[in-house]
Amino acid sequence: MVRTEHSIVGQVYAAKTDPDAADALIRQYTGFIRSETVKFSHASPENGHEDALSIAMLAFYEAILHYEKSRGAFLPYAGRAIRNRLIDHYRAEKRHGKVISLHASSGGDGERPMEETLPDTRDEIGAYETRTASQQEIREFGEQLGRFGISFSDVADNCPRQERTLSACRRVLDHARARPELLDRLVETGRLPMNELSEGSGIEKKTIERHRKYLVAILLAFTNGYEIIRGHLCQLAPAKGGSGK
Amino acid sequence: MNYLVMETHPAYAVVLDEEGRFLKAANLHYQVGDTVQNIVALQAAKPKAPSFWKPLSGLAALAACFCLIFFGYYRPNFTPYGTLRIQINPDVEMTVSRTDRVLALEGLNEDGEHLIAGYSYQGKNRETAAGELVERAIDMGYLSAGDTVSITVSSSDAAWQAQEEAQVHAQLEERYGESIIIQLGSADIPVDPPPQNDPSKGGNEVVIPVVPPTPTEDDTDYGPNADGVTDYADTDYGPNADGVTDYADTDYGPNADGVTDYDDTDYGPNADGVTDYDDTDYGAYTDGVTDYEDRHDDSDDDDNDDDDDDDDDDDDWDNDDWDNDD
Repeated sequence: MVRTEHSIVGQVYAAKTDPDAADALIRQYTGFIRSETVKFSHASPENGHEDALSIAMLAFYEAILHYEKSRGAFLPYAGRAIRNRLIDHYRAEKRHGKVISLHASSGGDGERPMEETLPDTRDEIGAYETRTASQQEIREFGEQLGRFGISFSDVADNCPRQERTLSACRRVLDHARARPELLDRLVETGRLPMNELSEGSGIEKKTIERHRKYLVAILLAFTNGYEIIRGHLCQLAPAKGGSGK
Repeated sequence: MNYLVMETHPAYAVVLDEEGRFLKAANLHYQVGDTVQNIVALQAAKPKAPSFWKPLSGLAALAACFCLIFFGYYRPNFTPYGTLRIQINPDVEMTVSRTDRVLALEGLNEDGEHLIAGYSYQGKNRETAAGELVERAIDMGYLSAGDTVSITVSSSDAAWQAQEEAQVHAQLEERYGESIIIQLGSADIPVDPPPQNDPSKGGNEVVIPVVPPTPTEDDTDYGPNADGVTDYADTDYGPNADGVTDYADTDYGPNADGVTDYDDTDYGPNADGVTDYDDTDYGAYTDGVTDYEDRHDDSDDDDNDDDDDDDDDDDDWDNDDWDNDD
């Protein structure tokens, strides 16, 4: 018992920083997460409760990130975290209580779910193509980031949380976009041209250094290619030379 | 807001929002390249809370240590708590800490300066220093047999002062008591033959005449003005009883007058033989004749006992006492 606790504590601490270890740990404990979810919802996750399972897994991941050895055993903590998150989720869902699920039966029409009675306005084939294209582009983007030794998880962890820091990063981005040679240098050397960016944008080097991974990712997104990602970031695009949003 | 799914993991997905933020969110069966609208974002780990307490606790511990050292060691040992003045002819004052450590030594007159010149008091306690100073005074000829050493301890702590005085006195008395006189208290006039007579011993006796106070209110029974005459004289109890009780008309005890009001009884020795039973108003015998006389039948008590009174003539209840009462 003590032995397993020790090993799981080590695993959890490894998973805090390493996304692959986190994935492995979560896969290993999928059964536990499932059982906690079922305990809460009293229904199989496959039976219209898929979201609950996803939320529970997110809660487990949060528990990994927030866990501290000195506060006790991990699994009870994770169980509690999952339950709390599910409670939050269902409370949020309740607010939309009057909205009928599309998956609900339409009643008069017998067995067909309501979803199927709606006219299909989506261009399935177009959507599929778009998705394939964006998948392709994101894969390329990810590979290029990988050459910098950065993963998307790292970028997400490194992303500025405060609005102030985010706008500072945007000013760096705007400056870089105004001078494409800086972007080229980034791609060629694999390093942020720290001094030029700092001087040009008036943002402290320390801030740039702290959010290096995020800046690399967002600057790379504005190099050649990556039309879809850039299109997604349309709110940033027109602010050429400005202060972003 | 639209989010572009960048990467998926079993527990979460990395999504990019339209403002350029990369976020982790619950993976609600997303696929890379999906554009989703509502996400369940990951709650960021709070910045570590103990950063507030940890340095503070260290600081508190440091402060506690400092207080302990200051109040437990430094103050009793290194701050002046009182002074001990030794007056032989040389007048010397030493400043002493609470733990009897000599902190300073000062000569108050020329001879005193001379006495302590070259004397090192550092690290010595009061007992050693006082002894050595007296020793020095003897050696230097300031003090010879029969001379008086007066010791004055002064401090704001009266208890400490008294204790200190007693200790110094006892100590010097023990060592030099045979040859010199150790005197407590100040001899403020450092004259060679000190007038050591206690002024209190030969003082006049002051007699304050005590005048008995005259009573201002006559009729009080209490306090100094009590006239000794209480208005409780008319009591039947205690020493003031006048022997005349108002219970004179009692039938009991020593004051019984022998006349009871029970004379008019029909029973016992005081029976006067006159019963009041004759005067009944009930029944048919209102003529003063009770019908008790004729109740002779024992068991078959009936109403017609007057009618047949001759059938029980032989009954032993049929004595004449009942009849003769009338």
